[in-house]
Amino acid sequence: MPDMDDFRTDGELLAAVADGSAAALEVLYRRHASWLVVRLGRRCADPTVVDEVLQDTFVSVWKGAGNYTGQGDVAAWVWAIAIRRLVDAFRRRPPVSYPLDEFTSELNTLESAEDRVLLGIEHGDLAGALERLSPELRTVVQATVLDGLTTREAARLLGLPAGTVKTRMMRARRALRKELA
Amino acid sequence: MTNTEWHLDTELAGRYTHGRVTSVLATSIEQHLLRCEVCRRLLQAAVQTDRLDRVWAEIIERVETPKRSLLERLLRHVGVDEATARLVAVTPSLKGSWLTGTTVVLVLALLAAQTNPQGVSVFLLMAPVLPVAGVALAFGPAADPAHEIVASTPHSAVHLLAVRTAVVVSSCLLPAAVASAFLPGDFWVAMAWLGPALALTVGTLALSTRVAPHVAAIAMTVLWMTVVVRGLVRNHDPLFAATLSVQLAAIAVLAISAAVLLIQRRDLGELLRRVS
Ligand SMILES: [Zn+2]
Repeated sequence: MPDMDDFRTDGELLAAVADGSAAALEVLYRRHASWLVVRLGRRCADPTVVDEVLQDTFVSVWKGAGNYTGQGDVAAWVWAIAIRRLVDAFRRRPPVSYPLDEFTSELNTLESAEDRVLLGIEHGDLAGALERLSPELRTVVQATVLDGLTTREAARLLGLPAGTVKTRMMRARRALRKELA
Repeated sequence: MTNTEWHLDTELAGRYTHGRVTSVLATSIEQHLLRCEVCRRLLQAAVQTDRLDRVWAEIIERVETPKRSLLERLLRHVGVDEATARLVAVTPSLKGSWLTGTTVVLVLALLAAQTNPQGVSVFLLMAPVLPVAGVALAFGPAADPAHEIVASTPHSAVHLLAVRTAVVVSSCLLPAAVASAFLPGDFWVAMAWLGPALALTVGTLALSTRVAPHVAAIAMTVLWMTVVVRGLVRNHDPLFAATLSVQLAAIAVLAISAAVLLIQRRDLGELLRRVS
């Protein structure tokens, strides 16, 4: 594994990528490709699409390495790119079906102030609250709040109309607020 | 964050990899993975190396392919195949400096012709030499990524040579044709540079099967200059290059050179290998 020989941090590697080092990009790729494949695989059942998204992601990392501010984990920054490349892939080729209950995500980029409140809540409480949401509301919360997608991107990912995502998100917010109050 | 004490073990990592965890547990795992390098390493065996290698090969190809120029994208758009479009786009005679040089020479020759009755001779002398210089540049030792293209092109060396020559010649002939429209006098006289231009260009290519292209180009240029200047001095005729004998000689050189190229076409690959 090339990353075993490299003692640079992800941030240092990303800076090298911004300076045009393809070798640094490969070290980053070897470090992050596997978990990205597994995580993308939970959102997309077609391995061909997952491989395409992985490829697009690292091409985007190559082009956009200079945009990394040095704030936050490089892994989270890369994931934010990967999930959007997945949405792009679904735009080109809509998913046949979305594995609803398999949908998972993380506390990542947050859009509104209300969403930020969610992050402040202890993880266990949020997990419990999420668990009690109906699967279709949970899916929408995971895509918008936790994966940090916009309403339109989440709609694309889930294969739903944007209006449906919006109303489900409103219902989910109401339920979570009651649950966490 | 509160996740620092908690880590995945191999068993949980395996269950997560194979989708055998609830979605809420998966959420926790994924949140943790973003912050924990140790646990990310646990997943490194989850994907087969040859799959990752395959994707990486495609990434590195996209990353290292230089940006396509406007011309290349345009050619691709109208249906020219990728290798040919690339070939045309990287031809040095399409670089700005070459086109500027061509234009400057033509404009100067044109000015000479407009201001001086003897000036037409300058135009007729210079215009045929332009594509020869272009060919020398296109196939010469100048820095050029042609070697990569020759190595990667699915086409034969003859195809490469033909495409390049067509590009070079049209990049000179078109401006020269426009310029000649502004020449004073006969239309036929104005077009008299065309035959010698083709003859010198094809002659340079034919000679290039034996010597380096820039040597061939210099030889053809010197030959042309000597013939025309001697003719000008002896006959005091500014239109010497347009005389029937010169034109016929040009056609003869063109025919012989084309025949040589046809016979030597096997050596063309050698020519390209040598120069690129
Ligand atoms: Zn950990």
